[in-house]
Amino acid sequence: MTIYSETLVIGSGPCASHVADNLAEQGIGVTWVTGNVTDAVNTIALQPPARVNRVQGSALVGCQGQAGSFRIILDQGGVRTAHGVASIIVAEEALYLPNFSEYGLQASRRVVTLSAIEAKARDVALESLIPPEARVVFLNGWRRDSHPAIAARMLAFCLRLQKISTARTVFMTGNLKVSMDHMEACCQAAKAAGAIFVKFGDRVPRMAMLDDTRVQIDYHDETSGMDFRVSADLVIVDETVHAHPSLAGIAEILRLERDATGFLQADNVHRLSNSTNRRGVFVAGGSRAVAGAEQQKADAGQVALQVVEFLAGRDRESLRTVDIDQGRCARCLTCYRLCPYMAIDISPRMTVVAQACQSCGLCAAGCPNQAIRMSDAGVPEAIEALSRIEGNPARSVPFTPRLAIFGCNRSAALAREAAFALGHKLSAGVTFVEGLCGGSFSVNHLLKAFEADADGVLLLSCHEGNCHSGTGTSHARKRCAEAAKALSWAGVEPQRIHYGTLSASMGCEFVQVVDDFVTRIAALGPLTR
Amino acid sequence: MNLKGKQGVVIGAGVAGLTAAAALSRWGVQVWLIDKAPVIGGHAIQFSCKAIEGCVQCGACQVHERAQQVSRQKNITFVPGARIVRSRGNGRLELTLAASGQGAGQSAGRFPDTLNADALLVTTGFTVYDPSHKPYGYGQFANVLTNLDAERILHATGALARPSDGRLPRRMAFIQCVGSRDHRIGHDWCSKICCGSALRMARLVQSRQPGTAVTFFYIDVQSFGRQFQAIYDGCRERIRTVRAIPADIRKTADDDMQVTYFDPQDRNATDAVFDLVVLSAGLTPTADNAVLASVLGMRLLENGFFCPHDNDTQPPGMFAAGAALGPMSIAESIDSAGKAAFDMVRYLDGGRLR
Repeated sequence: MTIYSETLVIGSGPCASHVADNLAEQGIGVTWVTGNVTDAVNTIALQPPARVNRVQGSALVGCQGQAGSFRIILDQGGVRTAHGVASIIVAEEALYLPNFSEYGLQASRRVVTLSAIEAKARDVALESLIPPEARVVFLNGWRRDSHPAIAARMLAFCLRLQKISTARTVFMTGNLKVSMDHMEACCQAAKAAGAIFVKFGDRVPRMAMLDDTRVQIDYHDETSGMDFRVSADLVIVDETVHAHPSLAGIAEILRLERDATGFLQADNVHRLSNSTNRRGVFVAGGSRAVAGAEQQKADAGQVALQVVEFLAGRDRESLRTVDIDQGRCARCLTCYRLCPYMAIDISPRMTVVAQACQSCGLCAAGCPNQAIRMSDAGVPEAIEALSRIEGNPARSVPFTPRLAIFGCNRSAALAREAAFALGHKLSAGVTFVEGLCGGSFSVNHLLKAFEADADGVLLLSCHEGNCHSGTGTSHARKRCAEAAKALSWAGVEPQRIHYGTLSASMGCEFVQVVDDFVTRIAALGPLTR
Repeated sequence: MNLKGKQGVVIGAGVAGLTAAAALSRWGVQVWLIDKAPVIGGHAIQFSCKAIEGCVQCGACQVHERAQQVSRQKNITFVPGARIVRSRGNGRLELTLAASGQGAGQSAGRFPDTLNADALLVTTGFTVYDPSHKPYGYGQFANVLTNLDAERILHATGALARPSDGRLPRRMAFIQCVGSRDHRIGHDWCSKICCGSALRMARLVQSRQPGTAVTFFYIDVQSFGRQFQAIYDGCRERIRTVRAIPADIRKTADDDMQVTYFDPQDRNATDAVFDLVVLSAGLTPTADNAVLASVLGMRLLENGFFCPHDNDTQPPGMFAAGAALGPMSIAESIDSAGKAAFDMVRYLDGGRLR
């Protein structure tokens, strides 16, 4: 029997709890999956809100289906259950690892982690935790810079110790991270209360263990140019922030992009704020590297709104339908491999699932049999536009090249508008063909432009790492290269086709790229047929 | 459930305002997006893209995309060149508008004298610190610019040339923390984005204008982006970093800048000559904040930025997001606006979204 709820929330910390809370408050049925409580380093006892089905000590082990109708399998202590959910939010905590090795130290009675001392200080008074007049040294980001949220916790604790206990604190860091709210003021207050701040560059302090287990630190102070030695009664070591180990498995099961450090969003501004490459799957908090209690709570609010919008169908105006002509489809699975949004079902027939499709056009452009048609965009319109290329049919002197510019609607089209807003004008003979994505233009489209008497073709797409579909811009580059080869074989100069990248804010660069290309094609002369 | 019939007013059409307006409009709210400037986009629309071989996640493109999204929404009306001068009422506010004096202004049919608001969002952003009072010659020496000046030049021309003679600079200096982390002027905050912005700009200029030597004067380098360490390590191979903030700048005969600083290695007062200096001027509260807060009955923080609306610190129905709350990157402003939209939609529906 499949248990149905509207949202699956995965995560075992405060952010996931806030997400479940926010959704339950809106009357949305939530299944909340938390791992074993011991997995998460920073978990506090969380009381789930009513109407939330909390499946404790469980993990996601399978997922099929698409936005609006995911079919997931949960494993709870070896027992597997099937659930139907319309949307998924991954809000697992980040993993905080103690940074002992950065400082050449080991955990001991006198060398503790930030989390450990913070946890102890919640239960007992500071006076009983720290011996009177103790020299307490904070170690924060030496060779590798600290995460600002960790530095913020260190600074806050340092201020607290310095103000309300008799401890004498020393804060030792490379780059002092004060970008989180109020941290500069916190640092100044700590100094005013007597905390000593030591910053250094390449000359990192040296550590030694004394016989009485105190830690001796020798350092060079850049401000005074002098060497100092401090004997620490207590050393507080910072932590590094990592993607939770469960994210790798979740990413594979849900077929999600990850960034270079393992978090569940590509490092791509188009994923702001909580989107993944799959519609209906969202990511929040420590799973997208948001750190800090306030920030995580805010993220839980943000993502809840986006989920409710999605469930109400308000996140987009219309669904573009994409049809696969079964008569032409050879089941080569090219579209399935190309789709960055995992929107293609292969069984029983190849189908583009409208709920999941995000209209990039990569499938239609890549299908070897041209079996894929998109409603109100794509193939027919692009060809139609090409036959309307204007220019100088008489090819009089001076030669005004007829150029087709294929541009994606997020980068080139907006850059073009920005150029016009700045007062620029494009050369005569230039026709702009707008597409859904750089990857929505097939090699056929590019070559058809030459058949329609273009002297040159320019394809402008988003920068690598800025493409909404992730891979669209690199497909555009490869197709230009293929088209260039085809031109060579046909005895045409391959330089007549060119691929470039730009972004929506590059208005004047758009004009420069076009003008440069006009000049180059003018030098090559008209395309001889 | 939809909120048709509800009126939302968003004050400030920068990236935060655009994000929130789009979110509100998706719920059926009739949104009035007001800005004292004659154009949409706030500061970010003036920024140049910093991509070299690939995107560096500066976020500048996002404001253009969001501006386009907003322009396509029939239930969002952009009111440029306007300010709020009076606010009356409880629950449903009656706001009186006047021309801001910054252009556009009263044009027939598009500029209502009064607006009713069931909820109101302040996204008025920031003002760039004016470094004229610093001993750097800003305003007198043509080749001393702020980061915003440099962005505008790059955005408009694609290159960063010396204003005095149009030559490309051979030796550039970036001076960080101008007007930030500065207790003598009561600015006890870090402006967060300037380290990342300056280093990305430096790399962009070096890539477009090869052979440009860049020196980066700083106190501490603040992180930017998820891949910060890799980008920062890469930067240090091509940019000379000096952990000192210069004390003084004088102009030479060739309109070059002679910069005096205390060199931390040699431990000596040192002079260096640059042909272009960019001051990373900080993000400060807008001078209008106090006036607007007083008109609306909203609270400001001690430092002059708006107080966040959490925990009922602002009057009911009044919200604040983006850099109006404090220095923020484009990504953070988008997040902040998203959170405010969640709070506003709940408020407008009397607590529930369904």
